[in-house]
Amino acid sequence: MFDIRSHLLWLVTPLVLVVGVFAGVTSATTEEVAHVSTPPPRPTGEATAPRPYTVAGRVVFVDVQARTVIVQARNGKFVDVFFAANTTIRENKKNIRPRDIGVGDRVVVVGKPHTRYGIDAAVMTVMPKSDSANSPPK
Amino acid sequence: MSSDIRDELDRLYEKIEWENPRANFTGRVVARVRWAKRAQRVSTTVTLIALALLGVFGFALGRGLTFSGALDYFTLVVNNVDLISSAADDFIAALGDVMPWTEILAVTLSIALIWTASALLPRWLVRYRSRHNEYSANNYSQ
Repeated sequence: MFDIRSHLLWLVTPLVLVVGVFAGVTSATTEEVAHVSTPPPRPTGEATAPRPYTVAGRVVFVDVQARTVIVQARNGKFVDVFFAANTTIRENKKNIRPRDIGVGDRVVVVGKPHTRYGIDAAVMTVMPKSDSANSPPK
Repeated sequence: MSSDIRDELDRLYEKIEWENPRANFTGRVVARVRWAKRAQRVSTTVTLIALALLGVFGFALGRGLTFSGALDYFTLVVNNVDLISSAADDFIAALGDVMPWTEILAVTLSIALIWTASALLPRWLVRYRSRHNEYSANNYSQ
């Protein structure tokens, strides 16, 4: 019988883990690409009211005057993102202005939970719609 | 050389007492070998189950990392290292927020189960067998 206690086991274990994680990431990415969601005309984060420290997803609504964007996270929830004058917004490692953010852009936001719902952004990175459309989301 | 001359070595040999092997010695050895093989089989089975669980939980971890946005968060951190110092507390809180802790716990437990099944379980089973044998032998002698 194969001696599973041998040192080979400690090579197989990380291999199984890496293959499993990679398969999970691939599965989730494929599922997300295949799933075409139709955002509501004016989605609001108040319904689900998540107050996270970070969110990643696609922009479904932009209101530059109100300094708000609404992001549909990968799990399907809508999160309101509020940005201030001191929020760093970057695209390809270069600072950009809030008005450069468009619907369909893929963003990653880090910040503090807003007082009621959503997130006060400290840092936001933007991958424009054209770029994110060409490459599948990671 | 005369065989009548007795030296110190002969006198020492006279004091040696011959001890017979314990009763059913061969049977005990065979039983121990069988038990060791059985313990090995149990250990292998549990290890394979734990490996399968690790694969399943690894898959769940991959999905969790994607859906929670952890991979995007790591990409953001790697590409914007200079911003971490300006909002370090936000980045740390976001890390705690974004990690799929349940899946990480499941993967950790699976790895612990693999180690237990492959390294500790055979020893425990052999030790249990030894204690059980001693107990049986003591009961038998009483």
